[in-house]
Amino acid sequence: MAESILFVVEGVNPEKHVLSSIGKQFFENKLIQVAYETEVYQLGKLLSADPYLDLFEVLKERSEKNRQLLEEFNRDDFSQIYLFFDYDGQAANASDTALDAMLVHFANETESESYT
Amino acid sequence: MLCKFEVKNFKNFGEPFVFDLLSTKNYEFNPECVQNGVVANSIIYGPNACGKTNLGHAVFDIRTHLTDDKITEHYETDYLHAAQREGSAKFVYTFQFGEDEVEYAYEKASVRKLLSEVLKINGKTVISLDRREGSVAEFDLDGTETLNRDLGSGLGDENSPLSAVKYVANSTVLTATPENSVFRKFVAFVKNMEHFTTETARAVQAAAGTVADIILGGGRKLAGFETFLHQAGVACSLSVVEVSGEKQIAFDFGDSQLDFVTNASTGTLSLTAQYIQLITLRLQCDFSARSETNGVEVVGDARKQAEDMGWFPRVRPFLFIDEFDAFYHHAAARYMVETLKKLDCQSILTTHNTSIMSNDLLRPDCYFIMSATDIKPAYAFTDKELRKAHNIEKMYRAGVFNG
Repeated sequence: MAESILFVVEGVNPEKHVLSSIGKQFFENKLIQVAYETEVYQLGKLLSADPYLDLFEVLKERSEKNRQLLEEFNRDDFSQIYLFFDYDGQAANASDTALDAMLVHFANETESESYT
Repeated sequence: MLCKFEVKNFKNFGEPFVFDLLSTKNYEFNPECVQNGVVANSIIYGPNACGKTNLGHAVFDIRTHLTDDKITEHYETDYLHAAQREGSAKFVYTFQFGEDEVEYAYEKASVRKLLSEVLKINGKTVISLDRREGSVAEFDLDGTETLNRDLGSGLGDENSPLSAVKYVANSTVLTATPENSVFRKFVAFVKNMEHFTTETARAVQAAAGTVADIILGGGRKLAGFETFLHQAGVACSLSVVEVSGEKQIAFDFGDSQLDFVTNASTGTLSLTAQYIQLITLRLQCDFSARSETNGVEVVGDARKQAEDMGWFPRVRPFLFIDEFDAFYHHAAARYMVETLKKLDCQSILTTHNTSIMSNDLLRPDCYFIMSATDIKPAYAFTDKELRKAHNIEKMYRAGVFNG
């Protein structure tokens, strides 16, 4: 299978033009895009609570649509994963500390080490 | 299927060691790996020298007195645990055949010297003999009434007495009762269990001349073997050449050919040995075995009927491969596990390769972690409810399953 890259966006209706431009400008690989459908702080909370969860599988079990989109892939198939989320400073669980932790954790697109 | 195995005072297992293959977990992924609550595909991890190889020998001890196998050196020397040389080794096997359960317990002073045997079907003792108390066995299966119960004279010598279970299996006219059918399934299962060790792989590699005969035997096509290698990640083109009138497999480079066996890499030869093993699995169950009923080889309709009854499994019912992927690329190892999952065969593999420790392949109740004192499924080491999203390889490497 050719190298595939996973884009994770927040909403089901993302900024399509921006994402497609990024894809065209920076990547020649097959791009798969899935939505997490909740703000980034929820994702951070889930992954920090259990450091042994695979982000890929978390996304896959998130919705039936994601399950279908990722049907033919397994957790080792994506060489790079990029997250596109809003800052959402107004969210009830917004936290700059949590965001800092996520920025450290998600600093490398090719690996996701234990979340600490 | 084997659902539980206990051993004591054999090799490194000085204390009782229990390998429990029953699972009560209801994971929704990879359901085919557990059948009727028994783990059908398992992989054992554990540090060097914890006893993984000896566990294989222990499980296959049953064949040393129930079949006519040649007894290998592993059993002939240092059979009992080093600290308990005067005692006896104890084995208890529990099998499940559909709804029926068979328990076979025995004690031995050495690989050849059986001291006692008890066989139970659904909790009822059907065969028992304790040679420390005498040589008269107890049988309670329909058809055994006329059988000579004294196994003392002329049936094996003092140092390698005949097994009472083998005696009944080989000589009795068992009537067609549900209980006797379970007994036959048990005998057929043991007769067809297959142990694949690194010695077996080496033996296949040494038998260079016969590789082509086996791979191309029975009308099999070279393309099947070629496809197997391709799927395991070995890119090569093969052809058949004749050398001194004998067929040999060669790497095909268009204008020239290179002999396969002498030029294949260690990994490719290891895969070849495994391919031959898979052919064996699919096709070579012990059909030559005589029928338990009348000593006549079972053929035609009778054989089909026996197969339908489960007395003669179509494929090897049980396979234990030690260090199965020692020379494999991780993709080849994964492919082998996927292949075994598709076979109607209970498989137990040992390995150090953590890249195949994944919920994509098996489940947390199929990966066993072994130490010198016990063996438990991965999920038993954590209170966390494991689900498919968990990266169990990462958990293992981080020490979560260290007990």
